[in-house]
Amino acid sequence: MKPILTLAGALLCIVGVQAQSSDYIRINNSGALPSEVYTPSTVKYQDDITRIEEELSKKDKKTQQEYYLESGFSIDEMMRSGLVLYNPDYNAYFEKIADELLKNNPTLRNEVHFYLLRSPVVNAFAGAGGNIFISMGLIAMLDNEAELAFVMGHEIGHIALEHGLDFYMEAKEIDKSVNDNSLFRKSSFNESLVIKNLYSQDLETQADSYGADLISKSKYAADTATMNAVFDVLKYSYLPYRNDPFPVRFFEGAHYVISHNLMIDSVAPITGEPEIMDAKDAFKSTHPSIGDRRTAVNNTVSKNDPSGRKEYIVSGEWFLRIRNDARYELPMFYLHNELFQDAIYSAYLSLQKDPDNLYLEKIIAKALTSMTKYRNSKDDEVYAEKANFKEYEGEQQSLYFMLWAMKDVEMNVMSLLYTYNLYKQHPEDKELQPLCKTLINDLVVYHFDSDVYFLKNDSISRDSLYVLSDKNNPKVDISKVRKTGFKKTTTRKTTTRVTKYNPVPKIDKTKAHLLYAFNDFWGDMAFDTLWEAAISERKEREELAKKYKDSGFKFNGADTRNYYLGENLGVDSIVVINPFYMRIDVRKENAIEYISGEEGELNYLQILQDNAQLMDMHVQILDPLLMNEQSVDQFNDMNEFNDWFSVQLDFGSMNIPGYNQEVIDSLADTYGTDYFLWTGIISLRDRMHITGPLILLGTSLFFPPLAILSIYDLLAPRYEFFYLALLYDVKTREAYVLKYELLNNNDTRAILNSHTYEMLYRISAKP
Amino acid sequence: MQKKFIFIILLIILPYVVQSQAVGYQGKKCIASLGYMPLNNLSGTFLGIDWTNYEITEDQTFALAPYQLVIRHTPYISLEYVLGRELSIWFRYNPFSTSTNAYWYNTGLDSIGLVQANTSGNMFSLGLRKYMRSTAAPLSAYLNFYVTMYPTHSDLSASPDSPIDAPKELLDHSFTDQPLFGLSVAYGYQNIFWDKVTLDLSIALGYIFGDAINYAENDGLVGDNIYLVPGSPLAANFANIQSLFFATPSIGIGYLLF
Repeated sequence: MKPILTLAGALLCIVGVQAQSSDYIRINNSGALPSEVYTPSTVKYQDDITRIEEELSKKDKKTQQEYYLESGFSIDEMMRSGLVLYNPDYNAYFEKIADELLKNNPTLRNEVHFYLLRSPVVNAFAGAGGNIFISMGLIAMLDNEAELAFVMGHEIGHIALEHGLDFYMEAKEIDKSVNDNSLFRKSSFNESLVIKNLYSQDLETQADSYGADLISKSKYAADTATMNAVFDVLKYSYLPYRNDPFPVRFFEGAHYVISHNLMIDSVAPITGEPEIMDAKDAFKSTHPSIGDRRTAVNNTVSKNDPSGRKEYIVSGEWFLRIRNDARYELPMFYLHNELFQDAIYSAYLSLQKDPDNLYLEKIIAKALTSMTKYRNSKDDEVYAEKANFKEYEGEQQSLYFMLWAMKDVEMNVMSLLYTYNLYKQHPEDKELQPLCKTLINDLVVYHFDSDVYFLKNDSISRDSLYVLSDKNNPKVDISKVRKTGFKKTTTRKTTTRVTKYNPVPKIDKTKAHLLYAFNDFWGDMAFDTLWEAAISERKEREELAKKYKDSGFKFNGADTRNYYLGENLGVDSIVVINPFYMRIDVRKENAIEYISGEEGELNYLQILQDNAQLMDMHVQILDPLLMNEQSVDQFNDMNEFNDWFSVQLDFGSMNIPGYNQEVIDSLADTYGTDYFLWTGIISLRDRMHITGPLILLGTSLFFPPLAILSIYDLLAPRYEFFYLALLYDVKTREAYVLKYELLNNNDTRAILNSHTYEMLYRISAKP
Repeated sequence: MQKKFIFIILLIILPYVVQSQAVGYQGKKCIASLGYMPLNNLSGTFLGIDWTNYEITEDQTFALAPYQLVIRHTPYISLEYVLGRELSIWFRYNPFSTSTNAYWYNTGLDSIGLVQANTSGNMFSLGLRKYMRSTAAPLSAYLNFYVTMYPTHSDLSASPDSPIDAPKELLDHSFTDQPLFGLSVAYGYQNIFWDKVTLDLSIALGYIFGDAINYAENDGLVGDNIYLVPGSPLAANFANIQSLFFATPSIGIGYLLF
C-alpha cells in the first residue's frame, strides 16, 4: 500500500510541477486578515489577564501577567511583521490535519491555530494564545503529511501542557534562585541558562511524547520510519532540502569557461548534527539530543498497529503543492537575507524540475548582481563570513568554493553574461535590464574603463579558453584556508580617482580569458547602448571629480545612492509605511514598555494624520493598527515595501534595484506617488545621573545660583528620544534623510507635533 | 546712534529670516504672552526703632535702614516670532516701580525722619531666543539673550513708617530722569498645550549699566537745611532694580497667534 501511495504522491508531484508556468507568482496573504493583526495588543492583553485564576498568589499573578504581556506583544509583533503568511488555502490544510489529530479533544482543537512562517529556517514553535507557527524552511524539508502531523502534534503538546507559561514562571524562579544562591555569581559560567536549558529539554521531551501519542491515536503512519524522517530533518536542518550536485559549468557561455581550478576536488561529507550531544553541548541546548528524542518517540510508536495508517489523510496533492511553493519561496528568502549562495543553490534545485522558470532564473541573476556589487565595492564582509566554503557540507560546497575562489572581475563578467543572456530571452522583463545596466556600470568603473579591451572579433577554441582561464586562476591550496574568516580580496586600485581617460588599451593579462566573453552580445544595440552609457557616465564622474578635487569631494563607486539632507522637496503626496514606536525604560528589569509603547504608536499615527491634514498634504499610512479584515491587499503592499526597504538599507550607499523592484514600481503607480516614508520613534527613560549634578552642587558653594540647576538636574527625570524619518523615491531609490536625531526631551505630544510638522513641511515645501 | 543700533539688529536677524525654513509650531510662528515676574523689593518698613527718642549718631547716619522683603508684582506682555528652527526673536514690555525708605535730616529743627524714595519706569526688552540643541522653536528649553532699555524716574513721597511728616520741599524735590540699559540671559522652558496655548517659565540673570539717579546732581542736599542722607534711596532702589535682573523668575501664558 505504502509504495502505491508514494508513487501516487510522486505522480501528483510531477503533475504539480508540470502545472507550473515558466514563471512563478509569489504566495501572498489572501482572504480576511486575522484580527490579531489589526487589534491593538493591549486590548488582547486585557482579555488574556481575565483568565488568570483568582486563587493564585499575588506573586504568581504578577508573573502570569508579565508572561501574557511579553509573549502576547511579541507574538503580535511577529504577526504584523509580514513574517507570517495568512492564506486560507494553507491554513485550511493545517486545520484539517489538526482536525484529525484532535478529533477526540474538541476543546483543545478550538484553542490551537496554525500559521505558516515565511522563513527559510527549519523551525516550528508554539506561542501564546494557542498560535503555532511552522516555517516554510521546515515544510520544504518534509517528505509527507504524516511527518508534518507529528511536528504539529509536538507543538500542540506545548500548548496543551501550557509549556509557554510554565517555562516563563520556572525561568523567573531559576533566575531568582540563582541570583540568591549562586556560587558562580562572579564567574562567566551562566548557571541560570544551564538550568533553564535542562528544564526546557524536559519540556521538549514531554512535547515529543504528547505528539507521539497524538499521531498514534490518529490514522497517520505513526511508525519509526516517519519518526526517523522527522528527526533526520532536524539532524540535517542546516543543509538544503536536496543534495544535488551543482555543475559549476552552469554559468559557462559560448565564449566563457570556468577554470578547472575553480572546481573543488571533493566536497565535504555530510555529517549531520550529532545523535548524542556531549555534556558540554547538552548544557547549551534547549532541546534534548536528537538520538535521545528519536529513541524515546520510536519506543512509543513502535507499539502501534500499522494497519490502516496512511502517510496522507487530508491530501497528498495539497501537501506537495504547499511544499513545492515553500521550495520556490526559499530562494527569495535567502536573497532577502543576503545568503546569495544559498539563494542560487536553492533556485538551482527547483530549476532542475522547472528549467525555464523565469522567477528562479531572475533570483540567480539578482544574487549574482548583488554579490558582484558587494565584491567590487569591497563591502563583502557582510556576507563573506557566511560564504566560506569550508563551513558547508555536501554538493552545495562546489558552488560555494567556486564563488569564493573567483576573482572580482570574473564574477562581474560571469554575472553579466548570465543576466544579459536572460535579458535577451526575456526582453519584456522590467527587472533584467536594470540589473544588466548596474553590472556593466561596475565593469566599467572597477575593471575595464573601455570596451576596446574586449576582443570582439577574435575567436578562440574552448580548450584554449580553459588553458587561459586555468592560468589566470591558479589553484588554491585549500588546506591553508582557515575554516572561519572570509576571503581576503585584493586591495582595489580605485578607478574612481581622477585618472586621465586613456583610449589606448593596456591589456591586463590576468583578464585575458574574459575578453571574449561577450562576443555574442557586441553589436546588440541594447548591449552597446548600455556600455556607451556606462563609459560616458564614468567620464562625467571623472570630470566632476577633477573639478571638485581641490574641495576634497570624492566620488565613490558606480551606482552610488545619494542621501539628501536638509532640502525642501516639493512633494505633496507620500505613503508612510508602518511607522514604529518603542518606549524603553532602562531603569526597569523589563525595559520594554509594551502598553505605553503601543499607546505611543497609536498617538504617533494620529499625529501624522493630524499634521498632514493641517498642511493639506496627501498622506496615506499603511499600518496594521489602521487596518481591518478587508485590508489584506494593503497588508501585502506594506510587506512588499518593508522587504524592499530592508534590502535598500543593506545595500547602504549602493543604488541598485530591490529584489522586488518590479512589484514596488507597480505599487508606486497604484498609490500615485514615488515617495514612501519610513519613520519611527524610540522613546527612552534613562537612569538619573548623579555625578554631574553633585559636582554642580559643590560648585554652587561658590556661585549659589548653580544650586538651582543642580537640584533640578538631580530631581528632573531624564528623557530622550530618537526620531528617524527616511523618505525614498522608490523608483530612483534616492534617499532623503528627514530626521535622524537624538533629542534630549520627553516626547510629549507638543514636541512630536512640532517635529512631525517640520518633517512634513520639508517634504511639501518647494525647493 | 539709534539708527546704527537698529541696523546692527537687522544685520543679525536678516540672515535667519532669509535662510530659514522656519515653520514654528505647526506653521505658527508668532506668540503673544501675558506674564508675571515678582520684583523683589528689599524695601521700606523700618522695624523696631522708637523714632520719637531717636538720636542720630555718627555711625547711624550713613547706615541703611534694615529691610524686609516685599514682593512688587510686575506684569509683562511679550511677543515672540520664530526665525529659524531653533531661533526666535523676542520682545517684552513691562512697567516697574520700586521704593524704599530714606532718612532725611532737618538741621534747623534737628529732627530726623523717613521718606519713601520711588523709582519707576517702563522696560523694553529685545532679544534672541536660542532653543536648546535638538529642540524646535518655539518649544521646550531655551536660552534667551536680551537687552533691556528703560528710562527711570525717581521721586519722593511720604513714608507711612515715618514718625514725622516729611517737609513739603523735600517731597517736591525732583530728580533728573536717567535712561538705563541692561544685558540679560534667561534660561527657560516653553511648552505648548492644545496646540494653541503656551506656558513659558524662565529664570533670568543680568547686569545693569548705569545708576537709577544722577549722583552728581542729587548729592543729598534739598533746600537750605534739609538733607537726604546720601546714598540710601539711591542705593536701595538700585539694589531693587538689580534684584529684578538677578535671578528673576517669570511665568507667562501665551497664545499662538499665526
